[in-house]
Amino acid sequence: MNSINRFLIIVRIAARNLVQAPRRTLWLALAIAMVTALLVLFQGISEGTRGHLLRSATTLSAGHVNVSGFYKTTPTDVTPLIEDGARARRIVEENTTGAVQIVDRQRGFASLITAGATMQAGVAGVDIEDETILADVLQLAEESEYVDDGRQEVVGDIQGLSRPNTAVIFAGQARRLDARVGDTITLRTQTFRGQANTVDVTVVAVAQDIGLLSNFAIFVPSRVVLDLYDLSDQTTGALLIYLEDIDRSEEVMDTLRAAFLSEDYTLLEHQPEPFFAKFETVSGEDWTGQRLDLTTWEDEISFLTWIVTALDTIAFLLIGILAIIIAVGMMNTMWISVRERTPELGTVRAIGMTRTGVLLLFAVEAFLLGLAASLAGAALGTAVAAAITAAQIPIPSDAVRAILLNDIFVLVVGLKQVLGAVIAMTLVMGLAAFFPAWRASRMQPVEAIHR
Amino acid sequence: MQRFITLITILAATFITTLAIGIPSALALSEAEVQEVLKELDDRRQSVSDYRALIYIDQVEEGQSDTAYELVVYRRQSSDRTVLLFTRPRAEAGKGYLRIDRNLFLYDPTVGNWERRTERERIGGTGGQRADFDSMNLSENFTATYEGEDTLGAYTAHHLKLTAREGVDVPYPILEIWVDKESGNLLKQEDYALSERLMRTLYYPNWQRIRSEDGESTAYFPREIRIFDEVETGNRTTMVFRSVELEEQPDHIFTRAWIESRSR
Amino acid sequence: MNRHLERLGMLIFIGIRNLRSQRTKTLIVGFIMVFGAFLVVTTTALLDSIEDGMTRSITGSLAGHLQLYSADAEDDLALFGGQLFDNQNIGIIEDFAEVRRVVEGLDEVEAVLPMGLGRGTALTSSPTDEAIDALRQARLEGDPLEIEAAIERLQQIGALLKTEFENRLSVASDVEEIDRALADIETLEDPEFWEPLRVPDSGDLFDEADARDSMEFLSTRIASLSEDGRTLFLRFLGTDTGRFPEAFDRLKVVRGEKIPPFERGLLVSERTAQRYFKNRVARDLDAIRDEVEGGTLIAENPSLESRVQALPEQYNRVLIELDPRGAAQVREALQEHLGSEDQTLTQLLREFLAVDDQTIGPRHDLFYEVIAPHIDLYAIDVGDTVAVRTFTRGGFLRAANVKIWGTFEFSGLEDADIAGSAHLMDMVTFRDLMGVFGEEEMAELRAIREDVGLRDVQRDSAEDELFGGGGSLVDDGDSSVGFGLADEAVSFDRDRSSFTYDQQAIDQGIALNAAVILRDASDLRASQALVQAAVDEADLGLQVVDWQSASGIVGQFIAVIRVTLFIAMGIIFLIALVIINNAVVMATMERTSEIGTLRAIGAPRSTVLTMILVETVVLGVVAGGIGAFGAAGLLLYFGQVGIGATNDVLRFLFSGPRLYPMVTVAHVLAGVAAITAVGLISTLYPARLAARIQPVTAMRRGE
Repeated sequence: MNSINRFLIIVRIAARNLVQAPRRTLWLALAIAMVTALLVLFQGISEGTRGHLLRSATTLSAGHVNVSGFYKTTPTDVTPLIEDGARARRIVEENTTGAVQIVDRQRGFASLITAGATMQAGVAGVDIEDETILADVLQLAEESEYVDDGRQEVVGDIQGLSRPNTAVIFAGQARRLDARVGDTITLRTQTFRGQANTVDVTVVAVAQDIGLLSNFAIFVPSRVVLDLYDLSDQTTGALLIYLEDIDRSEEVMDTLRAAFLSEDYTLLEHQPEPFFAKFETVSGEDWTGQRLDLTTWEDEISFLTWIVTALDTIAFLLIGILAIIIAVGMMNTMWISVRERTPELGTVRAIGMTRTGVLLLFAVEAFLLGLAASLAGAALGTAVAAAITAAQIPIPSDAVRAILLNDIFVLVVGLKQVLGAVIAMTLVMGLAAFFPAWRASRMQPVEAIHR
Repeated sequence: MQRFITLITILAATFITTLAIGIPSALALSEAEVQEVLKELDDRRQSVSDYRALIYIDQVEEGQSDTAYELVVYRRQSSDRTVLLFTRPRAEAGKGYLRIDRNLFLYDPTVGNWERRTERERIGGTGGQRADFDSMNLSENFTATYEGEDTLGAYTAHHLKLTAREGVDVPYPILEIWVDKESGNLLKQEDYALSERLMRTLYYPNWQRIRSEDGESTAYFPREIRIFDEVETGNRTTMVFRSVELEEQPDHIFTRAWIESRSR
Repeated sequence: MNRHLERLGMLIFIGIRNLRSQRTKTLIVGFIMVFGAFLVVTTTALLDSIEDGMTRSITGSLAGHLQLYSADAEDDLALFGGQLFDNQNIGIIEDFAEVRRVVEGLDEVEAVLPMGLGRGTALTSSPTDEAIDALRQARLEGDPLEIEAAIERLQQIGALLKTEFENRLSVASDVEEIDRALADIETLEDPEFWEPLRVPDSGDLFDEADARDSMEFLSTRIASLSEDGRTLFLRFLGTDTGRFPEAFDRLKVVRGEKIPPFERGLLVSERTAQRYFKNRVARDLDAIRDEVEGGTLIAENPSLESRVQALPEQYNRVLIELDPRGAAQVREALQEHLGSEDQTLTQLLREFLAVDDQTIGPRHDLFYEVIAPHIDLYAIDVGDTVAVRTFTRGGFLRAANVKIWGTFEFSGLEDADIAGSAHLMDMVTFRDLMGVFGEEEMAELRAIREDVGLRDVQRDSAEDELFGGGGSLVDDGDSSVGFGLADEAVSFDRDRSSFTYDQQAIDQGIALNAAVILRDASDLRASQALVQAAVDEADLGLQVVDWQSASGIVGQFIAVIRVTLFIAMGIIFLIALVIINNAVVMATMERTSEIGTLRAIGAPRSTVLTMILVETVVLGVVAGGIGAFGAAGLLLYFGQVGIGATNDVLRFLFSGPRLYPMVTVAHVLAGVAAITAVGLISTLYPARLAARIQPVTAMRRGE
C-alpha cells in the first residue's frame, strides 16, 4: 500500500470517527467556527480602517511620496513652502519612475466663516486641471446630504476650482457652516506674525465625506493660498507623488533624497511624522533659507496609525484568549476520544498499524475538525462582514466614529486574511491535539486490548 | 357687407393686439430708464459732497443678549475714503474701520493692530455691512432688469433685479430692489448669494433730505434701515441715522494715524 | 436545617473526591476557570481604576457633578471639545443670578458657578517693542550705559530684520512693499539716525524734536515690520474666579497668586505653561532630566534618544533671547563649566546642550542658575498683561487685555492633561470677549434707544408695520443731535482696570453654562432629577446633564471602552461555556456506570443533580479563587509600582504618566462569582443528563 493510499484511509477513518461522536464534535466545531468568524470580522475592521485611512490621507493631504519644503526667513520662524517650485518639480519628474501623477499643492490652515458658524480646516491649494486623481476620488454629494429638503441630485462641479476664489468643501462642513453651492465662505488665516488675512471664496462643489478626516480639509485654487499668505507664485507648498505601486514608496523616496542632495539642496533628517508636527522643531533651528523634507504616506498618517495598532492589539488579545480556551477544549475532546477508542486502537495496532499511523489518525481528526469548522466560520465571518458593509450601518457613537475615522461600519475581508485565519485556527487545533495523539500512539497494543 | 365686417375685425384685432403689446411696455421701464433709476439712487446717496453721520445700531440676536452701538461715518469724496469710528459704548469706543479704494481695514485699540477685512465684514459684529453705511455704487457694479410694479404696504414701487458685473467684489452678487415710484427712494432690498439663496432683507422705511450748509447740494440719507438676517432668522439689525452733516471733511481724518489717535 | 447542612457537607466531600478522581476534566475545566476569573478581575479592576481616574480629573477640575445650560441649545455641551473640535453653540443662560438663587436653594447643592468656555490667541509682546520701550526708559532715566545697551540691541534687531526681509524677497508676492521695508531698515545703519537718541531726555520740547522724530520712526515704521511676538493658543474658562477655588477645592496656586477678589485677570494652567509656554530648551532639559532620574537610560528609549539628539540644534532659542550683557555672562559661565576657552557662544551652547545620562543633572542646574534669568523662560508669565483675542461666532474680532496673576494646578491631577486644559478667566472679561455688555453699558445704550424712539419690529410684520401707514417717506433731516463724542478723543483705558466690580456684577449677567457641585455625589441620577425639577418649576429653560454627558467625546470614550470590554468578556464567557459544557458532558458520559450505581442504591435524582452541580461550584470557587486572588496579587503589585503609559493615548486614559490600579474585595468576589455562574450554567445540561440515567444502565455496562 503506498503512502498516499494509506493516508487517504486514515483521513476516511478520522472523518468517520468525527461523525460518530456528533455531540462533542459539533459543540467544539461550533466554538471553533465562532472564533474564526470573530477573527475574520476583526481583521475586517482593521483592514477596513487601514484602507480607509490610506485612502483619506492620500486623497486629502499626502501622496505616496511627498516633497515638502520649509522656508525660514529668520532663524525663529518657519513657513511650509518650496522656494523654486518649478525647479523642484523638474527634479522630481526626472528622477521618479513609476509615477502615475505628480501634483503641486499649497498648504495652509484657516478658519472658515459663514453667517452660521466658524470652523477650522486645512486648506489645500490645488491646480484642478492637473489633479486627475483627486477629481476621480472625490465623489460629489447630492444636495439632500447637506441641506434639509435639498434636491436629490448632485449640484456643482469640481472643475469650478479652475476659476479664481472658489472652494470645494465636504458635506459635513457644508452642514455645519450652512453653506451650499454658490454661497460664499470667508477664509481667515493667521500668519506666523499674528496677522489675520482674509479671502472670500465661493463654494463650487460639495463632496461626500471621507470619514472624519475630511472635516478638516478643503480645496481651493493655489492662488487663494498664495493670497492668504502673501506669497509669490514661484513658490509651492509641497509636491505629491502618486505611484502605480504604493509599496515602492520608500524606494522612490530614497532615490529622490539622493537626487535632491546631488542638486545641492539641504534636506531635513527623515522623521516619520506628518509635516505639521515638524513646525515647532524647525522653527527653533538656527538656519535660514530653504530645506526640503521627504516623507512617505506612512509618515504623514503616523499620527493615526495608533488606531489600527490598537485594534490589532485588542483583536490579538481577544482571539488569543479564545484560542487558548478552545485549544484546551480540543485537547480534552481528543483525550476522551483516545480513551473511548482504546480497545479499537489496540486492535488496530495489533494488526499492524504503526505508531505514526495512530498519531496521524488522531492528528488528522483534529486537523479535519479544525479545518472544517474554521472554514465554516471564515465563510460566516466573510458573509457577515460583507452584509454589514453593504448595509452601510451608521456608527452610533461619536467616540467610535473618531476612532474608526468613519461614519459607517466598513469591513474589508481579503482572501489572504481569510486563508491566514483558517490556517492559524487549524494549526492551533492540530497542535492542541498533539499530546493526546502522541500518548495514544505510545500505547502498547496489549494494554489497549486489555483495557 | 361681408368684406366690411372682415375689415373692421382685422382693424379691431390689430388695434387690440397693438394695445396689448403696447400697454405693458408703455408702463415698463426701458433698459436705459432702469439704469437711470440706479444712477439716481446712487447720486442721492452719494452726492458730490463729503459728509459725516452719527449712527445708532441696535442688534437683536436669537439666543444671545441684545447689543447696541453708536458710531460716526466720515466720507471724503475726493479721495474715495470712508471712516467708521465707534463712539459708544465705552467698551467699543476707539475701534474703527478705514476704507481706502477697495480695501477695508479694522483697528482695535485694545491690541493696537490693523487688520484687513472684506466687503462681507459685519461691521462691529452687527448685521450691517460697509455698503449699508456708505453707498453701494449700484450703477457701477450691477446690471439691472425690470421686474414690474409691486405694492409695498401703501406704496407702489418699481421692482428691479440686479446682477453683479464680472470681476466686481460686492457682498451679494444678486439683489432685488423696490424703488418708490413717487419719491424715487429705495424701500426694500433683498440680498441673494450666487446660489440664489436669500441672505438678507432690508427695509428703508423713511428717508431724510439733507442740505449742505451753503445750500448747494442735497443728499438723501435713510433715517432708518431695518436689516433682517434670512440665514439666522430671528437676528435683526436696525440702523438709525441720527444726524447727518454735509460738509467738507479734512483729509487727515482718513488716515490710520487719526483713528489711532482717537483712543490714546 | 442541620440535616440539610450535613447533607450539603457530605455532597461537598463527595464532590471534592469526584473531582480528584476525574483529573483530566478537573484540570481542563479548572484551568479555564482560573484563567477566566483572572481575566474578569484584572479587566474590571483596571477599567474601574481608569474610570475612577477620569472621573476625578473631570469632576474635580472643570465639570463639577452636574452641568446646566440652555434647553434650546443647538449643540450638546462638550467641555472638552465637540466632534469637529469647534465652538459648540450652546445658547446662553440669560440671568445667572436667578439660576444661582433657585439651584443653590436646594439642600443637596453646595454651589453653582457660572461658566463659559472660549478659545482665543494671545500675542506676546514683540522684542522690538520691548527694546524701544527700553530705550525710552533709559533716556528718561538718563543712564548713558543703559542707553548704549538699548541702542545696541535695536541695531542688532535692525540687522536681523535686514536679513529677514532680504530672505523674503524671493518668496513674497509684493516686492515693492519689501523694498520699502528694506529702505526703512537701512536707516538704522546710519549713525546720524542715532545721534539725537544718544543723549538723555532733556525734557525740552524744542531740543527733543529730533529725538521725538527718531522714536516715532522706530515705533511706527520699524515696530510694524517686526514679528508680533509669538502667537499662543489659549483655551479659557470664564468663571467666578473668586468662588472657584472653594468649589473646586483641589485647586492650588503654583506660582504667583490667586486673582484678587473682584479684579480682572487670568490664572494660567501650570501644566499648559510647562508644556507650551515654556522655552523649548528648558522644557526639553526638564523632560530629559525627569526621565533619566526616573531610571530610564537615554540609549534604551528611542523617543528620549531622538529628543536628546535634536536638542543641541535648538540652541538658537536661547541665543536669540540674550542681550549683549546677558550673552557675556552666559559665555563666561559656560566656559568655566565646560572648561573650554576659545569658543563662540554658539559653539558653547551646542556643546552644553549635548547632554547624556551623567551630565544632564548638573547642566540642568546650571541652566536654571545662569541662563534662565537672562531669557524669557515663559512666553507669557506671571505678572504679564496679555492681549487675548477671540473671534465671535460671526467672525468678528474681539480683544481684551488681561493680567496674569499666577499659575494653578489641581492636587492629585498635576499630570492629567484633561485637568490642565483651560485657563481661568474672570467672568467680566469673559463677557467682554463675548461681546456682551455689562449693566452700565446697556443702560447707556438703552438711554439712547429711548432718545431715538426705536421700537422693535419683527420679521413677519415688518412690511405692514413699516409701509402700511402711507404718507411721505421723506422729511428734512435735523442736526439737533450733536456729534459731541466723536469730536473728542476717547481716553481709552487699555487695561480697563478702572472697572471694578462686585459679586452682583458677576452673578447678574449671562453665562454659557453652569457647574453644580453637590454635597453628596453618590446618587447622581437622583440629584440630576431633583435639580431638573427645580429648574423646570422656576421656568428657567435649562437642561441638566451629568458630568459624563457634558464632557463630550471624552466621556464617550470611557463608555466605549466599557462596552467593548463587556462584549469581549461576553464572547469569552460564551466560548468558555461551550467548551466547559462539552468537557463536562463528556465526563458525565464516562461516569454513567457510577451514577447508575448511585441511583441503583437509592439516591434520588435530585441528589445526582445536586452532586454534579456541587462539583462545579466547588471547582468554581477554588479555581476561580486561585485566578481571582492571583489577579488581585498582580494588581496590588502594580498598584504600588504603577503601569507606565507608553504613548499619548494611554496617558490620556491613565490621567497621567502612570496608572496605579486599585483592586477591591468586590472585584475578587465578582470574579469568583462570575466564573462559578458560567460553570453552573454550562453544567446544567449535563447534570440533567446525569440525573436521567437509569439505574439499569449501570448494571448493563457491567464495569
